[in-house]
Amino acid sequence: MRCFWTDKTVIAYIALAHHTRFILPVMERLKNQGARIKYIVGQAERSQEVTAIEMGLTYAHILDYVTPDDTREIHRNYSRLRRSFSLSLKNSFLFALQPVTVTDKTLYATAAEYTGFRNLMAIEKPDLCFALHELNRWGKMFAFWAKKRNVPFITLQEGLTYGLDFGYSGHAQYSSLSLVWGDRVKKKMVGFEAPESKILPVGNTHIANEIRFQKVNQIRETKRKAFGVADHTVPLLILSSILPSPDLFFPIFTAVAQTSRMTLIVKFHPACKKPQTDQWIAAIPEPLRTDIRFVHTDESMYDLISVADVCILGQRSTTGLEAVAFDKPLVKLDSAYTPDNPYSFVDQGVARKMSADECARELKKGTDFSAFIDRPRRERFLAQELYDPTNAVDRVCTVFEQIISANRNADILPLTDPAGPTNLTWSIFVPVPDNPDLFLSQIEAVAANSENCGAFETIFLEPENTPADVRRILDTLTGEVTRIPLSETRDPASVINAAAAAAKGQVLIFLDRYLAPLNGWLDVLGKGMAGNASSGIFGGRICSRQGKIAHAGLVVDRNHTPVSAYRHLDMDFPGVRKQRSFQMLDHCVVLKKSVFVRAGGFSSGAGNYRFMDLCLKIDRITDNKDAVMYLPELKLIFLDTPPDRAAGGQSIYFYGRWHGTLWESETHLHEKDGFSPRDLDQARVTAAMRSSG
Amino acid sequence: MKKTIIWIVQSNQVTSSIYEYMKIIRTRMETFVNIEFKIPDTSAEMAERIKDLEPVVFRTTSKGTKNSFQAYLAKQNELKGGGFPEDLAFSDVLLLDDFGGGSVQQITADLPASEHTCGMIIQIPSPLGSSLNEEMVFHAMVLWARQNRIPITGYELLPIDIRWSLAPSLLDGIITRYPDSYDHLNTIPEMQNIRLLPLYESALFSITATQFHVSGVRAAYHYRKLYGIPPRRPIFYIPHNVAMIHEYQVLLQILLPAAGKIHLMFGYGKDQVRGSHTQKEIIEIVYKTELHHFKSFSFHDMTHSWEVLMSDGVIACASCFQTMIALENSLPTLIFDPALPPLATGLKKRIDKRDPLLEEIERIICRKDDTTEMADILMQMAHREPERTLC
Repeated sequence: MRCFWTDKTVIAYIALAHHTRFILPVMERLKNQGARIKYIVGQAERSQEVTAIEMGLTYAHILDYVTPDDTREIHRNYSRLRRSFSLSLKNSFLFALQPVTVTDKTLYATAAEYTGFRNLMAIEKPDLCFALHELNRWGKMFAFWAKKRNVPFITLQEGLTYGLDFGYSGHAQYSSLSLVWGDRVKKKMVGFEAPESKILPVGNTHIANEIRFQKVNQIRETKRKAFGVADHTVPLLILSSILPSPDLFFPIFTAVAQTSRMTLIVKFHPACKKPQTDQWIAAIPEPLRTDIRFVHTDESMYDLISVADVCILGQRSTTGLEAVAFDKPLVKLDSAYTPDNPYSFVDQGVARKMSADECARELKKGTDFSAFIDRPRRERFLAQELYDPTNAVDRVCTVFEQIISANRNADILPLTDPAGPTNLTWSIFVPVPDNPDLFLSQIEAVAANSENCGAFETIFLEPENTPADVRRILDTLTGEVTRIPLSETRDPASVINAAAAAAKGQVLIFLDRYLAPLNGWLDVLGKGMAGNASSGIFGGRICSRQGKIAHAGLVVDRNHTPVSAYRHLDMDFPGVRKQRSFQMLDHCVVLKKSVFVRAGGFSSGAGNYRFMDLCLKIDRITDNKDAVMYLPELKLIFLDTPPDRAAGGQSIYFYGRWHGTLWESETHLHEKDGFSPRDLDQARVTAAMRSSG
Repeated sequence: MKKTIIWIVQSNQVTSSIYEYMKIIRTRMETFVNIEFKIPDTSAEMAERIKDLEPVVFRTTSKGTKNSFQAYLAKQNELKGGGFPEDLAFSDVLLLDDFGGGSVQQITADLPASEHTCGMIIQIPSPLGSSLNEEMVFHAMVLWARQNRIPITGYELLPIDIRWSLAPSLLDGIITRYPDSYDHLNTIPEMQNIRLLPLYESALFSITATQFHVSGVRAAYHYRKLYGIPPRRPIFYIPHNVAMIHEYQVLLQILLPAAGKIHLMFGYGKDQVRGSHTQKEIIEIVYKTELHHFKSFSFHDMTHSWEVLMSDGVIACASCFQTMIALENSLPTLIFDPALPPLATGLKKRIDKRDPLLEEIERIICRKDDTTEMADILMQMAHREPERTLC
């Protein structure tokens, strides 16, 4: 059988070695499965070429893709950049963190690389692009051009994400998806406005392989012998990129110097500069240095963790997680501990907090630090941090395959065999939920508010595991009612499509669960559809139980994910009272059966995104620029919390297929409606105050 | 009251020639403008090295914050609207990594500004050769000047005819050393008040400048005043030789169409006497008709070879000692010799016909229009109302 990857090209951008280690196992796997892989480096004074060379990777430089014909464009873009920064630098110190000359070099390189990434996409025509993250300029521009060409772009998590909190909002802006290690990280990122639907926990792509490698190759034994510490106790002190004063660690240095058969390894962060580490070492008195081995980038961090008997965090460090995963006892010095930190090894019970004096005493006593490991908490911690501790690479490759498949699914084929007479006006599709009371309220609202506006039928989509009391309600229903069973083994899209094809209504209405229409809704729909192109799809103004906007047409936010226009504002906020077209609608869509058939119905795999997917398909097959129409007088209310799109896992399909179509439009809507950010802040405050009152 | 121009001096920016020049220009300007030399404390060691200029060391302070959300938003706002044509915002591309997210640093100069201060002079840093302190102080001074509504003019020490042009764009005026830099910056719309120094001044702003160049600038100032040569009048140096009287007469005849605009410097041997006439007398007698057409002319001892620097170009009838000096100092050099085939190597052009020679001369004359002496630049700064110069 022909392997999926045989004719696929995957391009990864790489920069620093300690980041590339997460990308490499995935790329190697894809290569082994037949994919054509390519590594790209960018322009940086801290050479990214060195990473590729030292890791034995064949690479191309992004500026290899820039030709003399691009010179004018590069100069134009550089001039734009220079003008922006020049204006700021003349008047403020905001960009004075680095010298003007360094800023200038960055700006020129950015202009050149911007063109390089565009050309790279055009020349290599990749099926998927991959980078550690899109917070730096290379990742961002690479992601941007991939999106422009509708090529899926996947980012990984860089570390434990306890750095620049507000930075997480940009983590999956142009990426199709961001794959993170675990749920805790996802939660944290989402807490800082990263898009929930685009962030998938998959695990750490490197650590499982590394643990296996260390065991198979007996690295601990080999390295301890090579270091001459085979019979020594070896604490490993891990430092971060900004070095603290060495005085902080003098008690530990002293304990090591005074204890026979003990060697301390001090590991500097790769981002530290050599002159800094030299100066730091020189500040330690000579007699205290005799039993310390200082390591910068000349040894693998994992080898050192293997060698160690206890890992001591002298500062915040991602490496703590890796030490725990390696089953090493972990100590965090109290000087590095911040109470109530959003993330803390100590608070989660996987590190012992100690002062340098305490740690020194324990070292001198010959304490077995592994006795401090709290096994149950360790397991819980790893489950939260590493979604899949052993098969993360498999998971990533599966996501890659799924997203490429969705992306290539560009054809829109009409449904075949649209059987059935259309002797009714409306066919109303209602998904059957779990809560009998709310369901009853919903169907009462449908029945009571649909009278005298044309004949209708109600089609219930009934999951296999529908609770008995809900079934009992269904059993009592009479009239034009059809129950369509949804089984877990059959694709729900094909079942619903078949039901829609057989429906008796000329117009199909699809409602979300617990969504109740208000009085006169069919009247509004009838008029709205008559007054607009019949080839379109229609949606309405939906409020939450609290009376706030849950849907007023969908816009795309700065993370390029769909959100309701003016969500959470008051139901009668002026911006939602205008009939207009949008790119997408959600929760309730209404369209002629013939249009549904022509658009191929709901897509298999679209899941929770089926309404949005349908809107995008209709938008694509019609010439009508107002094909997706929001009718503000079509009013509905959610009887429960609106469904969570991100929960279904179908984002791989949705962002894979429509990656190149979803571009930020929320700001444009606000500008067009004349609302400034301040106006909207004020409206949010007003809405919140009304809710609390 | 006399106005004051502040000249910022930092480490690695002053050679002995530049130091000499600073003294010369300060003396030259003293009737009109005070030039005060100021040194940031990051370059305090310079105070001793340039003590004759009575420099004043001023304090700089650095403060900053890390990971501030307010700072991040302020940066984002600062770049608002800036982006690539395809709608990728600069703030999205650059803020979180290259430009430090919410971290900021401010270096301020504790430098009092008097109401008489009318300008500041500072060296323009280059992305390929300046030092960190120098560059940080450069930006601090740009902000200081802006806040005090004092125009700031940068001068080229390291070449600025390069792809990077952010530093020059922060200035109210730019003094270039090289025609290439002058031409390059003139292609960039937002660069303003670009000036090109004449060779005798620009040659000093070099690590290879020597006493020869200091003598050159002194001579230029002296003869310009002595002969009343206005700043924009083109000057050509003629290394006369009695062995080629006829050739030089032909040359002068060719130059006649341009003669009304130019000053001629005749280089001659003071002790060269042929018969009863000195070389100078031979020139005055034989070329009397031609010389009458030239705007002005002067005689220069050929052993004072630094005086060549005063000219905008050398025109000779054969390669000689002075053409060698000219070429070694980047002066355009034209050799008119119908006996040899034409040749062009860099600034040296050997020409065998009248029209090409005139074309080259016109080119040099045009270039003269671009040059401005340092004293004139300083006077322009002094006569400018600061409030009106700032945008």
